[in-house]
Amino acid sequence: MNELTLGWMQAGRLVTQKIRDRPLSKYPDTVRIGRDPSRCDIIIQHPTISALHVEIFFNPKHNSFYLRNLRASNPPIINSKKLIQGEVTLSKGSSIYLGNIELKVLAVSLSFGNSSPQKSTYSLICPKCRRNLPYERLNLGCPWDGTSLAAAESVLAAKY
Amino acid sequence: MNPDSRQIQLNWVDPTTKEQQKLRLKLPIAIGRELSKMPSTIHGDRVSRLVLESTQVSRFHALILFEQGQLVVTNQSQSGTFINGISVNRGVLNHGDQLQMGNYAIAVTFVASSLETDSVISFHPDTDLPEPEVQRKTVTATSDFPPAIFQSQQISVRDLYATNLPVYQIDYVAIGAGLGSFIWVDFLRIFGVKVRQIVAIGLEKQPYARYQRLCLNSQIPLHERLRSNSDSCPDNIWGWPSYAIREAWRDFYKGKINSALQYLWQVFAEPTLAETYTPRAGNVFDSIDREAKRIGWHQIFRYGRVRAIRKTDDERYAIAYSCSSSNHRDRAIVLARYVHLATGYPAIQFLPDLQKYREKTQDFKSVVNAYEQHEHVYKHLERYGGTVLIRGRGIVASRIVQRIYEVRQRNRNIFVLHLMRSPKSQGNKFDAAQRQVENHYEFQPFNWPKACWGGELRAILENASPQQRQQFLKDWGGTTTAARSDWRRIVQEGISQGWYQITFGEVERVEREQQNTITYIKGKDLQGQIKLQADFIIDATGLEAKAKSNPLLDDLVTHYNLPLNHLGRLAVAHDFEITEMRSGKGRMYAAGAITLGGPYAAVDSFLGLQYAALRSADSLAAVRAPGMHRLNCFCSFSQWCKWITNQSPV
Repeated sequence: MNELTLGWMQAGRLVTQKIRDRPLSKYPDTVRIGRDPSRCDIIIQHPTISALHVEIFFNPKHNSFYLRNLRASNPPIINSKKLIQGEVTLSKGSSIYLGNIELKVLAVSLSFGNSSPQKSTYSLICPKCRRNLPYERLNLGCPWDGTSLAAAESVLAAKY
Repeated sequence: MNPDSRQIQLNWVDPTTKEQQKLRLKLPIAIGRELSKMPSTIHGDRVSRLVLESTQVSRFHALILFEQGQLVVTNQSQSGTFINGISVNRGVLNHGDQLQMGNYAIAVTFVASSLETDSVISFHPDTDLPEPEVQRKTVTATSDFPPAIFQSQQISVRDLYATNLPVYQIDYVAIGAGLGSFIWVDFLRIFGVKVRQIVAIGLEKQPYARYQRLCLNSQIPLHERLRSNSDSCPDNIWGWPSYAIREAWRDFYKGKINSALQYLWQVFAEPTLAETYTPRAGNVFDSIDREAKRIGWHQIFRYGRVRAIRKTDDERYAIAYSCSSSNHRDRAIVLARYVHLATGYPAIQFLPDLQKYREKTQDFKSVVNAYEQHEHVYKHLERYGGTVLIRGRGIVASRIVQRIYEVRQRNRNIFVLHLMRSPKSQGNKFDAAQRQVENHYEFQPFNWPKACWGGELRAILENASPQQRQQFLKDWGGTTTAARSDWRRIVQEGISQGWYQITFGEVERVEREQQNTITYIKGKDLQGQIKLQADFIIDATGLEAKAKSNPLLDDLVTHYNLPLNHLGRLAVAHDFEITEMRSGKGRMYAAGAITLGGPYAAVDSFLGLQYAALRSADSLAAVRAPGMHRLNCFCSFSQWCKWITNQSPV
């Protein structure tokens, strides 16, 4: 799983927020930042920040997180460079100025490269008979008692 | 230690994921990297085989046996097995020891008796007796999800953020993402809500994916007709143009004027003068695809399994869901003020004697449920012939008889035994109406009388007391099938030619003998036992929808003490709100099979889901939920124009 941690100061304390590669955000696959709660997923209330300011998304092709400007008239400053339009890659330590507020990329973890060669696979537990079932049964249900796996918990696959 | 419950508990931290693992296994136990390299039985006992996926573990690494009152570990690996750090080839294992294999360190604890264990014993649904422990594979993961704060009745939003899980905020969440969710979302969109305000969480992208699978398995191919009416259009809240008009239109353009006129005559004269019109499955799915595209469903849908829902201190709901896949874990929380539950049927109903048969014989081929994929049955019959035992007499049984009839055109050596619990000579009565019965099949065009959807029976049920409702649902419902002339002809033909036979009785048990299944039944009129021999048994008894069969609903019911109705489903108000779940301004609604037994009968039909969605959408508009505007006749008409011209509603 790919994850980016963003941090900024708000009312004198550090606020952190994690951004994942497939977020459940208001727009698919992208996390939007700004002042307006109806359009943004990360809301920062500051007069110098636009209602809808920037978005951060994961590009699986290049295996990295990107920031895109959504407000040409109030460009963010990324690592001391103005970003009028288009997108830039983010890495650990990147500094993002939205208006007068500075956000820092505290960490980026990419599953590519640092994942172990061993794939740790998960399986599902039938809610009724508690049997261990492979993920392929997800849409079909438990073959032993017909129970749906729509709310099943997952466990590390221990096969017997 | 009781010799029948020799179990030990293993605890370890997975070296790759750093997750705590807790596992209770029955002796003997084999541990290794490859399942096939470990013995499946030792001295006739079934071996619990634990697979540890690491190259540092051998294919078959160690064996744990119970010998003369002791637990003995035998090393099978070149790299060695260690007890408390000491390499052993054969060693006695004591309570509290640490077993080491490769990069795994496993703490061993003895389980005194099975009564103290938290392993799950499932109970027989009829007798309430525990089922035999047939190699029950119990895995108890130390569950760190949903997070511990979900144990309280109300969660503070600050605590949610402190869990370090990603937290998303959205106005409306539809849980299930099947047809019930789709129809509700369709109403929200038409009432003015924007795509980015709604998320639907479920397993499959297409809202009809599960429904379609159940249809295909129960022998409704795309060209066949569903048991649904012409104006029950899940893609169109106005019901016009209806499926009959659309089909007539299409056929008319193809030059098939006769069939076009026939559909129009059917909807005009049904059910008295003509057979009831029903739409083709394929046409319904295509129309849903078009509507899904129009309302932006693919942006609204997200893959996920919802595990728990709690009220929050800011009048919303916190929904813990997992979007894990087979090789990575991903969990998050979504906060929403308006939640809709349409999780559908929690299980395919397996008859208990057939479930037992599976456990005993591990035979998944000769005994099948009609809602499971069972194409192999028809392939086998076509090639080799044989006898099929059908159980249940609803619409699914009719469809299976039809399919077997089609297969029989190519192989005459096929016989059908239709096992019914009791004869049916008279149909249900209500006031002056009585259902028709023929060959023990009871007929009704749909699963409820048509007046249950929008007519006077709907009003009667809504105003009835819970006791009266129970009686009404019994009178109006029950197992019926459609009075299709082709089905009646097939049954009549089968009986007179002798290849189709109806038998009555209660099943005692099902056994496997040689190549056949043998069903033992208590005969109704005859003394003693009857044996029915068949190559295949098809269980067509239906789907299950008790709230406690769905872990998410069960958790909600126990956690918030929600009332259930006489059918064990969620009790809902007239607008389908679960009023006990109200969280200040927050509202939670339910729809579909999980609400049967309440104010509305036809909850799991297309039109019934639309009715439920309309009632809850109206009540959301009344509380001024964000984006919701009540549809007056002017905006309803303008929305209909957008539908007909295929434009986005907002």
